[in-house]
Amino acid sequence: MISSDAIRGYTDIMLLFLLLEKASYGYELSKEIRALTLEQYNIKETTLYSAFTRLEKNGYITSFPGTETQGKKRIYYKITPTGKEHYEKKCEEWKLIKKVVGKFIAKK
Amino acid sequence: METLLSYLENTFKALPETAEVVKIKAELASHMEEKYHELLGEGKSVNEAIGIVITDFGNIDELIAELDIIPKRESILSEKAVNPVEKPAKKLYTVTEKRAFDLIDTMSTNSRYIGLGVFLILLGTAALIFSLKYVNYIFTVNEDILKFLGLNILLICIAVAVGFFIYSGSKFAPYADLEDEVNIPEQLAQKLRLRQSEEQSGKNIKIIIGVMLCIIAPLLLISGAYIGGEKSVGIGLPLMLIVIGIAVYLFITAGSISQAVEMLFRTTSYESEKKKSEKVIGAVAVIWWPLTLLLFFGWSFTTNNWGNSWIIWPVAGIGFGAFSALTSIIMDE
Repeated sequence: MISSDAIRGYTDIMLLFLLLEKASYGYELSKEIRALTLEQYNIKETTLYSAFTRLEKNGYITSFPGTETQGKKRIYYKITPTGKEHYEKKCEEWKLIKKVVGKFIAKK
Repeated sequence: METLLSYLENTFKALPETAEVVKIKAELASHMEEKYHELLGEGKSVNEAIGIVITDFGNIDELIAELDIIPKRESILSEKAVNPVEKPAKKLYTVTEKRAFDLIDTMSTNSRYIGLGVFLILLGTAALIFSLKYVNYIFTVNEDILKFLGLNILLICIAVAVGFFIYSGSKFAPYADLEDEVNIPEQLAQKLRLRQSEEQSGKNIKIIIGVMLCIIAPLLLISGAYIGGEKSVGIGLPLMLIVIGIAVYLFITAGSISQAVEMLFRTTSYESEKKKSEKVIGAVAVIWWPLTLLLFFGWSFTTNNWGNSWIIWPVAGIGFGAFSALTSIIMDE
């Protein structure tokens, strides 16, 4: 189980990655994160929606209402060009982190 | 499902109903509902499904950190859930607006009590001197009764003053935790600064009047002495002490709001440079005058030279006036 403190910094990059593919809404995105991480990371609702708020405030995503078959109104999110740039930057950062931190991981 | 909705309601109870908050709450409701139904579809029981949804919900403070609000309840916020991966800084207590302004009112009232207490001490001293020196010239009363009366008045004044000091201390006690470093939301910070600047001009006036009084007081005594001779010292001296007492009261109460605000912000420790001069002057006054009184009595009783020993008062008065003025000028840069 991953501690939520450790993973919290990466939720943005996860969501942006998923939104690169297609626009989606909260619950679906949380399911995709679970599926993609093979149940290793189960994102909490508060973490998820804090991330949405933050990403939207920074202009990396935008939201729009969408209709659903059950007649429920859902808010959909989609990535912006700025968001794509930010994602690329974060990927570079991650590669750097991997290299740097990797030096301190004991080889077994 | 109602359980989940009331859970959501309760979690959001402490938050103000801004558009942002309402929107997020609605999304969370729909999210939780969809999750709940899927869990039921997977074969979970109602209780299991509810339990899972609530467990997976997370900590509302994390959400509060991202929204532009000041929570209505006092919450312990960890440093904002950050995107760059950083360890959250130490948890700071977040001050509510009500508590901050209650503190300001309390400290304002306290400064008045303390100022009044100091004034009373000086008043009592003045009464003692008056009873010893001057009353003799008006009434023909037994000298011992006079000394007795004067002493008693002084003691009563001291007792009441000490009562005030203790009362002030107890009023401040519930706010003692605000002396430590606290987190102040931006909106509240602006309101505090506004309140502080509203006090500014009144505060300056008090200080100016106080310093003027400190200078005038001994002059009153000297002029009285030259006009009326030794007789007038018995009235001049007490009057001078009373005037000094008023000045000290002004020093102590001036800027009490500023003091409270600076304490919350903890800028340059809450005894900021400006406050120091007033505190110093007030503190010195409380020592200076009783000390002068002691010297006066000591000198007079040992040499029985009452005709000349009175000069100690104008000397002390001018000295103190000069000291106050200099201190204000130097420290209030």
